[in-house]
Amino acid sequence: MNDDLRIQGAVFRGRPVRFQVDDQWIQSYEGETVAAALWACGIRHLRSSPVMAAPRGMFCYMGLCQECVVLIDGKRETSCSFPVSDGLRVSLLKTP
Amino acid sequence: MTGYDVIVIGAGPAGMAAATRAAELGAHTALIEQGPEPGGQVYRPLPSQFSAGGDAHPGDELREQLRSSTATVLAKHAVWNLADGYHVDVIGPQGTKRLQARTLILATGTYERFVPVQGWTLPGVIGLGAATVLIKSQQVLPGRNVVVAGAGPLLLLVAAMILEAGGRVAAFVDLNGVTDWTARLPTMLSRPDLIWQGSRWWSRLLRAGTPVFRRHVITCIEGENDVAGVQLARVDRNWRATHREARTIAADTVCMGNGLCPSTDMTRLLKLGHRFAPELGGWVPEVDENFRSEREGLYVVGDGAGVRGAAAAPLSGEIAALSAAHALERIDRDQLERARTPLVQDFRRASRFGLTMSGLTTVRAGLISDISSDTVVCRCEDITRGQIDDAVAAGCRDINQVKAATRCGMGPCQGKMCGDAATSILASQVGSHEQVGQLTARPPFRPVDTKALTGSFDYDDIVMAEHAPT
Repeated sequence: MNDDLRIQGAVFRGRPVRFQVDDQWIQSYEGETVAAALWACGIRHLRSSPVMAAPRGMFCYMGLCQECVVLIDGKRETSCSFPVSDGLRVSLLKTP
Repeated sequence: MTGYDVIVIGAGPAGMAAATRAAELGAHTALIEQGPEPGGQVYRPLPSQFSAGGDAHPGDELREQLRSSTATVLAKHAVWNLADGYHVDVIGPQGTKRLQARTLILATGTYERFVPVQGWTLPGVIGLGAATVLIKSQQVLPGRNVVVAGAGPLLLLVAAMILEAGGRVAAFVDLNGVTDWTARLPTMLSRPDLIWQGSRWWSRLLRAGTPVFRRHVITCIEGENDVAGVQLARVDRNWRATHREARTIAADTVCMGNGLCPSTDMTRLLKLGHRFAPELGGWVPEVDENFRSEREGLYVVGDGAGVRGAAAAPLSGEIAALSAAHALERIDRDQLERARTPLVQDFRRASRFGLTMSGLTTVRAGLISDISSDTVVCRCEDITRGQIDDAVAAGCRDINQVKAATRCGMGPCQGKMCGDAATSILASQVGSHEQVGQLTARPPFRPVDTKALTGSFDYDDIVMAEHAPT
């Protein structure tokens, strides 16, 4: 799942922006949410569950389930409702 | 504190229509929406930074009417608490504030119902609703090779959207069989436009050669850190998985969902009476024919009052707005009745279709029995079905006892993902949903940043209580 899942040809996206996820730079477009931008480039394992440390990622995409919570510029945010912008620093909440 | 005649919470079709109508009738109205723009889940628009060729989008008409009304739209504002009076605590880009209104119209819609299955917590498994928003609003495909599974009309919509956008549907897994659908044809004929739309989606699936499995369920989603595939099985007449015709299908993504549940966290917090109505999606608040609750000035409209679909929702919003305007003495009884009669007729017609569709998604007992004991039910707290069963064996009879004993439903989603499944598991052992009850709702409705609530302060700002006399 490494190729871009953005649907081509249907719309014009916003201005290209770049943001950082852990040590990696991600190409994105204004108007996208952090969760959708990560999903489009195949980053789906966003955090570990609290008890079993099981892999988790975006699930409801409506700001309800809290599964897509990551650190954005140091704050816990639901990435499905957080818009991308240039230079954003995202840290995944995976426990090793 | 800012005061209004009417505050509407939730800007889906019901909320947009309610706010527009209330404002048109002269009520000082505010509409609160957590998303960046009105539309709700069903009419979620493209982000403002995206542009499409001039195609009109569904929901544009409601949005346009709202825009040209005098209603104040507070987008990007989440309601985190409600209190008598009615006080509405919101958090938005500028922090928190408290609003006040004589009339409160709740239009908070639904969330998706999930029947937990082994592996449903893996990254790469998303809800059917999530898939629709990802595709239509973000223009991102859920996956390259996707299993679409569950029940209800969203199944077909999601499968067709994926194919339309260039993805592959690895399997279309419908809990219902052909007869479950055809039994509903007579009611469906009232909406030939939707039948036409549905048949277009079907022919899309057929042309693509999508493997279709009717009366089947996913029994397990396989993968280490991401989805690798699913196991399917046919269900018997009691909706239990059989091991006949079991098979494994490779896939990179799963979109699943078993219909919609009314979102009742606000009506529970306000202690409204509720009744369990499976045909309406589960627990629904008690409202009269004007969508007015037993509490003065409090209305519940749209799918949050019972799942009747996007055509019925705006009509219920308008009916409530008329009733509220009458109570606020903006219109007299004559004006109320004249405006109300045609709306009620349209609402009844639209509801019939919506109810027929939600009937396809009522929870079947066999599905609940089949949830295995090592399956995670509560995603937030990693609580398995086995732990819930243990709590029942130890004597828990009420869902809040199960919550206290296991932490199921106590996590940051506040039971929105597991509440329906956990209460169904308990009800299947105790006897009924009425005996088991609902999870108690508590503020905040969503996780809130404590710093945003307290604001910034210095040590000297802290008011110290005087010592008690010794």
